[in-house]
Amino acid sequence: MKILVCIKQIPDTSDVRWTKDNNILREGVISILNPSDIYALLAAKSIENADVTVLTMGPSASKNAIKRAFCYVGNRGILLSDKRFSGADTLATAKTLYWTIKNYIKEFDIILTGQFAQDGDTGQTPYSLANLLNIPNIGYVNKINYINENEISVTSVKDSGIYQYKGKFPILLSFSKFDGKDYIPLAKDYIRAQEIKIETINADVIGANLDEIGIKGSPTYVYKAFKPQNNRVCKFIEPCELIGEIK
Amino acid sequence: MEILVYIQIKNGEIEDFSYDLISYAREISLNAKISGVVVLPYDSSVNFELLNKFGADKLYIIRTDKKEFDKTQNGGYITELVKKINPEIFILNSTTEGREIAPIVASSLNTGLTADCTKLEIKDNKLVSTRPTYGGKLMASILCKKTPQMATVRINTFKKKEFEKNNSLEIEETHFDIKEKELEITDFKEETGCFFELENARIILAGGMGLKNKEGFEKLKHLASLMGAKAAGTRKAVENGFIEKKYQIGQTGTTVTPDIYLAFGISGAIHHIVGMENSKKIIAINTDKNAPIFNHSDIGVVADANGVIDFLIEKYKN
Ligand SMILES: Cc1cc2nc3c(=O)[nH]c(=O)nc-3n(C[C@H](O)[C@H](O)[C@H](O)COP(=O)(O)OP(=O)(O)OC[C@H]3O[C@@H](n4cnc5c(N)ncnc54)[C@H](O)[C@@H]3O)c2cc1C
Repeated sequence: MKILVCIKQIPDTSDVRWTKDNNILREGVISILNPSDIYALLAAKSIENADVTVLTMGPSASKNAIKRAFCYVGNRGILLSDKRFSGADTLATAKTLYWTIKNYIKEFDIILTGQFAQDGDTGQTPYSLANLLNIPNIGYVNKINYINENEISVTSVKDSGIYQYKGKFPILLSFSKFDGKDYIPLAKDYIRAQEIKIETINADVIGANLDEIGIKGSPTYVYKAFKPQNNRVCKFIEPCELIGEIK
Repeated sequence: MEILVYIQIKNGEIEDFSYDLISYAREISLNAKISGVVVLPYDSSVNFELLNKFGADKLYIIRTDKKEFDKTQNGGYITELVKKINPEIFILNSTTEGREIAPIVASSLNTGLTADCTKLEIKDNKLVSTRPTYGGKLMASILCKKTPQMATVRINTFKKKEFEKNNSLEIEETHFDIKEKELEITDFKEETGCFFELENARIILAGGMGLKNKEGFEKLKHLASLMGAKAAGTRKAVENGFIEKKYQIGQTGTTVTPDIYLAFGISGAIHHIVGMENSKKIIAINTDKNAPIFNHSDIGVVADANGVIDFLIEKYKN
């Protein structure tokens, strides 16, 4: 079974600091592996006889995210790194992944992703990618019920209810949780992770349409960014005065 | 200008948040043509009359041949409709259904999509979509160079309202032959969790680690039932098993906008704040007068939360 896990390195959003003029301070912010991607990695790890490739796009420091992923699972790592990829919105990102999979990786049975990236939280890339590849996808997956050579059954929890899906390969699954065996990487996993060579490739290698990647290929752009406003002024009262306020 | 709005149906009725979104579309653009789109199985009938009252001019009904189907597949049908009518803007609710369909449509049409917006505006005939990012620490206003300009909008961003209309709802039924993806739903259990329970609550009593233990939360729930309110909690409270995950408020939980939000023993981490900051009145009870929650509150009480709950239970019993 050939499995591809798409991951993302993100800034730790719990560690965001501000500059004096209300901009986000990007220097010195710690990078982490996107939390919901870990669910995808745990899912990959739970599948027997899997040949697991880890794919990410980002600056060369994103290699760390792949190495971190290797601590869970994986024997091949691919880093998409090219100045021309930068500034990509979700559409341009999905297209870049699409060309990589179609022209470079070629063979796969299952693509696993996290449901959301914690920094942007758009949750769009998995759906766009599956749509471009023209394969079925299931989102909000939290459990693999069973998997065999022909099909996979999963549980997906959406706001309308709990779904059991059955699908054939190739298929894309995005995980919002993983209800299965947890794994805490050990020292030996870190050592193994260092030893696997990571393939770094650029836009030419994947045969991308250069007009459709990076900032150039992104239909959306940030027009304004600002700190959320908070106009509340707190009035302190005694507990006995509370009743009067709850009306 | 035409703004297309995705209408969600449950058990043969239009979801309330779909009316909200129709009204929001009308509110941001009084002169635009506001259209709804709904995908319906061949045999189902729904009463659409109210759409007009809440701001819609037109409704497109796409009929499918199937009875039961995976809603994610609606993306394919809607893509065909959008290609045909070319609206300038297409918006959906930020429900799981909306968030699944929207990227399928956007990537099929090669256009941009802004997810989970908390504000929409029209400026110079362009859609400006504003959303929290960076875990709620930064707001970003986003424009799109292509059409349709697409966005999903957070529940409770705008409440439905009636508009004076001199036309009636125009309805157009269509049908598209598309090849659906091979995927089978083998079982479905309806469980809306707190999705509507909390979102529609007028008063929410939320507890944090300051309530100390499960007993504290049992008392909170008891008080909530006495007040006709709903109980909720922070992520830490959920992680400690004090309250179910579906009642978590915040970035990785539910966003709520009740008339009154009472925070008992909650520190006020930004991840929590983004889920409740648009409540009408916020009241916080915390032993630490410097707790950040007070910066986001209208009323503050520096006291032991458990004691205040006991006090309120006594009061509400009478
Ligand atoms: C990516 C990410 C996503 C997150 N998403 C969410 C989310 O969706 N929702 C969420 O809530 N959190 C979320 N968090 C966690 C968040 O950062 C905070 O850790 C959490 O909200 C804190 O919960 P708390 O206020 O219950 O606990 P604490 O921060 O421990 O605060 C407890 C408070 O209780 C007060 N207190 C103590 N004793 C008493 C007493 N006797 N009476 C009254 N007050 C007392 C203390 O002064 C303190 O202010 C997220 C974190 C991350 C990193």
